[in-house]
Formats: sequence, structure tokens, C-alpha cells
Amino acid sequence: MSAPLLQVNQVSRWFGGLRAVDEVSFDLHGHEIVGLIGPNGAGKTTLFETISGFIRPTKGAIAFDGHDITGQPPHRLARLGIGRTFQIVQPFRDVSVLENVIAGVVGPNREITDPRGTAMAVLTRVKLDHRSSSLARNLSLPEKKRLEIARALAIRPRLLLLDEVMAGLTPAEIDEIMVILADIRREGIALLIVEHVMRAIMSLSDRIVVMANGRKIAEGLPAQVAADRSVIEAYLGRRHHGPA
Amino acid sequence: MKPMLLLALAVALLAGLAPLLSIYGQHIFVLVALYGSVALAWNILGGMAGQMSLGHALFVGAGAYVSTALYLKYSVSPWIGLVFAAAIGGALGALMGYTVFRRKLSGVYFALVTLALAEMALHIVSNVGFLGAANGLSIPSKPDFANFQFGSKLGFCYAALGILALVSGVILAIDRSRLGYVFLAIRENERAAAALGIDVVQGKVIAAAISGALAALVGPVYANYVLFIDPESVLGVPLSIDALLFSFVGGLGSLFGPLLGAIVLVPLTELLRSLLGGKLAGVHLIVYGVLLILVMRFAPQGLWGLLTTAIARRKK
Repeated sequence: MSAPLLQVNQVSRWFGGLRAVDEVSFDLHGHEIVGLIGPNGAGKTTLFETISGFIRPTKGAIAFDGHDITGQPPHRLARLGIGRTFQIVQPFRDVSVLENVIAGVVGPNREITDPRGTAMAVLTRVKLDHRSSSLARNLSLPEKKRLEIARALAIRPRLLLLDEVMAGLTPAEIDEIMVILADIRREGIALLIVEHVMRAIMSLSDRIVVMANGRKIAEGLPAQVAADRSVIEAYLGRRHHGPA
Repeated sequence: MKPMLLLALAVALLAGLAPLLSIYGQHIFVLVALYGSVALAWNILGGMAGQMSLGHALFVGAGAYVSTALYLKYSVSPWIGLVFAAAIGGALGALMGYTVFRRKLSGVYFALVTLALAEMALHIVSNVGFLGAANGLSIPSKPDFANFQFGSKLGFCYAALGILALVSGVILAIDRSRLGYVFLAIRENERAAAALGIDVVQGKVIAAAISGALAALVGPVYANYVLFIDPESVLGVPLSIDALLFSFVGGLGSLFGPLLGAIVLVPLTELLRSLLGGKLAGVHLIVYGVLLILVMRFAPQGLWGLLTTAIARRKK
């Protein structure tokens, strides 16, 4: 078996006395889709932010493609091939959709002969090409979610980190995103997906990592994880304390 | 190449227009081109990259003092002084940017630091005898091309137009390159920019350096045009505010809006000054204030925005 594309090794992140992420380890191989799930407050987003370089881990190490990347700034990780989306969409609001994506194409500072054409091709992949000349601010939420994906794809990542790209979407819109993600993995891009939409993450993921209270409590195939006692407890326990 | 061609055409047109103007018209021409250049340079950092400076007089003043001191004390031609001015302006911009942006200070903090630095420079120069202290430096009138004194206003029209053309050319080049997108991304959303592989600190430092270098180029031309500089005129807060104000009125972040701002506001200032004949000094500031409020209220995209939407509407 080849070396993992991403190795998360005993990573912890503390905020004062709070252990938001507590000694979490997992691997992700090229061409693989790994789902990261857990109840609210489990530490998924904090872990996600440490992998993308926006938060430094307090302890532990992260390796990408065999190289240690712990503590590297986000722009350098992006140049290495780690793309990400934001849970709360962060479009460049006052410029066109196409310009948003061109910024992603030229962002990593490589020689690109036709940035405009390349960006247009990316927009076609997420079915947003018909909106290329609209201002990003005028897009609907599902369109903004797709723009997030397009911009992250534009840097030509080998690993794409997706933070709740389906949150707030209707079932039909979720299906559209699922088709897009399946296409992306077919192109050989590995995906790490943080998501609450269980239907989607269970059917898309090759493996699932489950977090609760900052710790990894389970890892395995979707069916295994769904039957895991500690996972069920983590989710049901939450339901006892308040509305789901 | 189309925008560059358009720029060349516009410059040629203006060059042809200059000799037809009256002496007073040529004076306005020079002022508009110089103030317009400062505003355009300011806009590279303040508008395109979104980092508001309240201290661009620092660059203009540095340029003016460097070239004038070199000329008066070491007989270095102001033509060479222009090169030194750009180098010093660029270095100051980079240094200022690096010290502030490295610490992740942005927005109002950056604005305040730039204001403080320009004021510090003003007070330092006001106390350095070598630079004429508060009395300033006078350049003796010796009309000669090598001395950057042209003996006619028309010569200065061309010199100022040359600077304006250079600044405009640089802006067009940025807009068409990766750097244009780096500035856009930083202005719009720094976190998203970083996620796209853009080094945000480096991008801002580059913006400050380019902006500083270009603003500094105006200093030597201005100094040799009026043959006198003092700290208040080239390092003072009013000049910094003008650069910002012209950009806001003309259209913040648009490529050439700031020039439009200068085209409207500079002649207006001169008109008010001649109408009031020295009485009510500072009344132009009240007019600026009112104009600024009107623009913010009715045309937040500035005059440039008004112009482009009007053109778009006519096309439809």
C-alpha cells in the first residue's frame, strides 16, 4: 500500500483549558474520500482548521505527501496542493464569479497560460458557468456553495477539504453537490469532508472518522461506524439533552 | 494590448491639447496631472489592495526632498533624482508595509500608523537644517532641460503628463497580471485569499512598495515646478487627505476613478481660490466635505461608477 497522502498524528489543539481537539490521528490516501462526522462541538472544524493551516496545533504533527507541514501558513499549504472551502461561504463579494475563480487559478503562483479559460472550465465542472459574469454577492446560497468548491478546485489541489458544503441546502441541491463531488474524486482528487448531512456522507465516503468531545471515538467503513455503540451513544446522548 | 493602446491614445490626445491651453489652463493641467498621479498611486494600495493610507504625503515629500537635496547639495540632476525618489518611496512603502502587516494589523491601525509616520517625517524634516528645516528649500531658477526646469508651463505639462502616463501604465499592467488578482483577493477577503495560495503579507507589502514608489515620483516634478518645498506643503496631512479624497470621490478601487476625482476637484479648488481671492481660506475643504457626503449618499461607487453605469445604460 502506498504512503498516505495526509497523515494526522496525535494532533491536539487546546484553547485555554478546553481541549477542542485531543490527540486525534488518522490517515487519508490519495483518491480516497474520508468523512469527518460528530455532534456539534466535537472539534471537527478545529481539526479541519489545523489541517488547512489556519490554526496551529498545540501538539502533534501533520504530514502531507510524506512531508511535515505542521504549523505551515495556509498559503503555503495551498501551494502544496491542499484546497479548502469555508463553512460560512467567503466569496469575493464585489467581483464577478469568474474573477473569483481566476484568483484561485493564479493564486498558487504557477505559470498558467490561459487563466480565464481555465477558470471557465472549473466553473463548468461545478455547473456554474452560466453565472460567470454575475457578481458573487448576487448568487443564491447553493450557488455560493458551488463557487466555494470551484475556487478551491481552481488551485488544482490533490486534497480538497470541504467544510459543510451541503449545510442549508434542499435535498435536490444536496444531490447536485454529491454528483459534483463524485466527479471530483474521479479526477483523482482526495476529499476530506466535514458534514452533518448523514445521507450524503454515508454514501460518498470510503471511510468515516467520528469525533466527540475533541477525541476520535471511531473510524471505519460507513456501515461499521453507523453500527458502532460509542457513535450511537455520542449522537443519541445529545438528543436526550435537547432538541435534535 | 487594447487598454494599453487606449492609454497611449489618451496620452497623445492630452499632449496635443496642452499647447492649446492658456497659461492658466496649463497650470491647472499640471496640477491635475500631479494630484491625479498621487491619487492613482494611493489607490493601488488603498483601493486595489484595500489598505487605507492616511500618510501618502510621506512618499511625495520623501521624493521631493531627496531630489531637491541631491540637486542643491550635490548638483545631481533632478532627472536622476527621480530615480532616487522612486527607490526611496518604494523602500519606505515596503518598510512601512512590512512592519505593520507582518503583525497582522490592518484597517484602522494601518491608517493610523501611516498618519503617524508621515507626521513624524514632517517634524523631523522641520528640524533638520540640512533640509532647510521649517523654512524649506528654494530651488534657484535656472531654466535648463538638465535641471528639470523647462522655462515654460508647457514643458511641465509634458513632465506631469509623463508621470501620469507611467503611473497609469503600471496600474494597467498590474490589472492584467497575477498581481491584480492578488490585490483583489486581499481586498475582498484575506482568509479566502490565503486559502488560494496567496501570501497576504507579501501581497500587501508589494502594494505598499509600488504605491510608495509611484507617489514619490510626483515629488521631484512638483518641487521643480514651484521651485520651493517646505514640510507643510509636501509632507503635510492635507496632501495625504487629498489623495484619499480624490480616490473616494472618483471611485475607490476602480482603476482610473481617482484621476477623475482630481479632474473634478483640483479645478474646483482653484476656482474657489480665485473667486474668494484669499478670503475664507480653507473654504474648499467645506466644499470637499459636502461633495464627499453627496457622493457617499448618491454614488457610493464614485464618479467613475456613475460614468460606467451611464455608459452601460446607453449601450442597452
